[in-house]
Amino acid sequence: MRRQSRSTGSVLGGYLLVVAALTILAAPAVAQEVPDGDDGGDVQAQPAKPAAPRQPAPPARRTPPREPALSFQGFGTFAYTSFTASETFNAVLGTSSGSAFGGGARVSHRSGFFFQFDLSRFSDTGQRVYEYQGEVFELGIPLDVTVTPLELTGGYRFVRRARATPQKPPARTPPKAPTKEPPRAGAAPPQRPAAPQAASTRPESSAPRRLRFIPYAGGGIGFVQYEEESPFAEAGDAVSESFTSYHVLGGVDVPLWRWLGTGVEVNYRWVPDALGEGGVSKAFGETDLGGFTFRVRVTVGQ
Amino acid sequence: MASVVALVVASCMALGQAQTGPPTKRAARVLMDEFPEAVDRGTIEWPGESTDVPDATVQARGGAAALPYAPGKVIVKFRAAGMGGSRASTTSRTRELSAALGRIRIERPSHADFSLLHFDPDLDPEAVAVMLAARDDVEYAQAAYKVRSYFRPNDPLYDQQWNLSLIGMEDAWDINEGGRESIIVAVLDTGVAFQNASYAYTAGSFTNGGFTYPALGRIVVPFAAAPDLTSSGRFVSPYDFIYDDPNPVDMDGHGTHVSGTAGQLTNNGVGTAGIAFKARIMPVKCISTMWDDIFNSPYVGTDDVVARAIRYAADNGADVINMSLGRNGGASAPAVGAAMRYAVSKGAFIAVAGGNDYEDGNPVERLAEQAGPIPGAMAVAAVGPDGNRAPYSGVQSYIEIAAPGGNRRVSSNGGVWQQTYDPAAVETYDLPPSRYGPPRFDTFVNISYTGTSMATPHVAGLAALLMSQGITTPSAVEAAIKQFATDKGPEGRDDEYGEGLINPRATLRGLGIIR
Repeated sequence: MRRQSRSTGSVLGGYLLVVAALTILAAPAVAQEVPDGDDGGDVQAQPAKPAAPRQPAPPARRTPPREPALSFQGFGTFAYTSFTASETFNAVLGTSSGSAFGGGARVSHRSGFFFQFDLSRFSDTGQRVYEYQGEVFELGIPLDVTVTPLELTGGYRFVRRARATPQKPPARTPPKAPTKEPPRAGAAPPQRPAAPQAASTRPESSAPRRLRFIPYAGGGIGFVQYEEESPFAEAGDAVSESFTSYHVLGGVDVPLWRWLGTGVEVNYRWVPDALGEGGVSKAFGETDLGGFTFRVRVTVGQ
Repeated sequence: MASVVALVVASCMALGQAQTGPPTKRAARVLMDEFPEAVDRGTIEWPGESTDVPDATVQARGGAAALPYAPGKVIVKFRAAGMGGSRASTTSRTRELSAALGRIRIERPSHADFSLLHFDPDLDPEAVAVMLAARDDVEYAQAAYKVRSYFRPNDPLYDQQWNLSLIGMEDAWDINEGGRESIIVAVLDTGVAFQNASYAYTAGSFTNGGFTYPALGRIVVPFAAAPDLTSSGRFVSPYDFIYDDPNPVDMDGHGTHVSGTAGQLTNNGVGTAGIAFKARIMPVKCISTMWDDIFNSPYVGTDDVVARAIRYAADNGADVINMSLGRNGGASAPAVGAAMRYAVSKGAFIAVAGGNDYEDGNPVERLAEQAGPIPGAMAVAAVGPDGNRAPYSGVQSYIEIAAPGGNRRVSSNGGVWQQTYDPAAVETYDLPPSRYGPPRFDTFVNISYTGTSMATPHVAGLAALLMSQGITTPSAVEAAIKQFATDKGPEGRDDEYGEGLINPRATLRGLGIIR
């Protein structure tokens, strides 16, 4: 019998609705803002207007290009999971942790909010056991365990927004102060002071690029598909059940290049009441299929 | 055939009452220079209990468990369009199937001319297959039944061994095919037909059933090892606590029969099958029989002898001790209880018969009573071919588990079959005095007995399999047997079945994470 409750679908639907609504609502509000900085990306300085003859040239502003409202990233993950039900997994697999692989996609709004889904897969082979008074007897019957979490996450990326900073005029000879004498007729009009040159279209190009870190945090719900198979099974012995999960996560994105980045993430997942009704998990009184997961991500996309 | 054990126990008791004090003769038998060969006389029906109930309740092997299938999929072959079947497109067909089954996926595996239809694992594949087979565009559909190379013994009488199919031994043997030679099962009983030898005895006169039987004087009695029980290195550390020597020859057949259920050689094309047929057997004689009495054996089967036998088995490496014996008179048996605790502390699991006298007042079985509270020692009740408690099986608070012991009232084939002596060659003391003569213990037949004595070696055999599988402590073996037992009678533990009928497959398979 499936353990997933009937309300899971409605919970998921509600969650998706909320996330979508947040995204839609956030987009126009932010779009009306005048971009006043950048998130550290390349900057194209605009040519400053020439200074008025009697006024010092106003400081030039670094004006970034308008970011798109939404950006998309795909990512692959290598994860290391440590299960909360440590005694159970240790009894069967000989360890309570292991590696997992996965991937997902993220939609980020320029306001910092993001939504992502992530699918990963943990698989290992241990053996069936018998537990008695804390002692575990290994029975030598292979047991294949597969845990496949699908997580839907809403969160916020703490994008560092640089304030618009006045740009210093170029360090060159300042233009001569205009004389108070009226121009003589026929005389050539006085030379306008040279407009300050744009410092560079890529002001940092001459310096080594610095790694930037974009922390983020979020949480959400998901599903964990749990499968358990071993030989000598009869009808009903194999386990293939899905459970609702909840998680929080935090991490750091590290953009490496225009379309490529990396990052690390720590995730804690709860999968309550997934275990404990049978098997060795019942013997140990462990009910949660969740745990800590440390992920390394490689992202592609803006 | 409950009378077999009753007879054995009664004879022990009688002898125990007749002989008090230390034995005066130690050389009650002399090993002769003769080594008879066994004679196998095939199968006979035990003439004891009869039945007027047709053999309709004997369970065919496996039952529903014999038809396991992979959940969530069926094998289906769709007809090609234009070949008499539906011309519905694949898309419309998928849509129709989705409407009927919910989310589906159709896979065309390699090396196949059929498809696999995947659907909700909660649906019944057999019902889905029937539904599919009714479609015009389906040539055939079937559940994906699991196929395996299961072990099925070729012993000719295996088909009559309902007791093994009742507890699903073929499935259990798929997991553990008869245990390991390193596991030793001590059979504390009337001895075991384990050697070819001849012994000289002096048979005095005696009375039985109101008749006086004449003394036979010095006679040479032939013994042979049971052909279906004996192989090289099969028997270890034999000992006879009735004659106080290392030759525990069986002079009744009970111990040989019990040994067969625990570990009869199996898949050898001979006779019957046993449960832990790769385990080794330690014959320990601690029950005296009618012929031991007639031969004036130095000891009889009393509590002290049984206690010593238990300790001997434990001290000599027994992993499992089978005690198809008991007594239901007198006070409790603390000496036996202490010996049981000692054996368990040494790593030996003990199975003790729960008693056959429910219909005779349901008295307390004093040895089973000792086993009840000891983790690692189990008192065993008996069920018949229908899986229900045998009418003779004791109903007591110390009953912990049930196993097939037989019941001829529900089936003409209601007994537990094994090879042992031909009663006609042994029980001459039941003949009129004029036909009375020396016994022969070299003539074997396959015969069915009933009783908790027969149920007990099922548990002992299972314990041997469990120990070879990896559950190495007696208390854990007991806990596992109880945990995976098939509940019978009132829900949970009860005095008739204990925790229920043993389930070897489930017990050997143990626990996964969730199931």
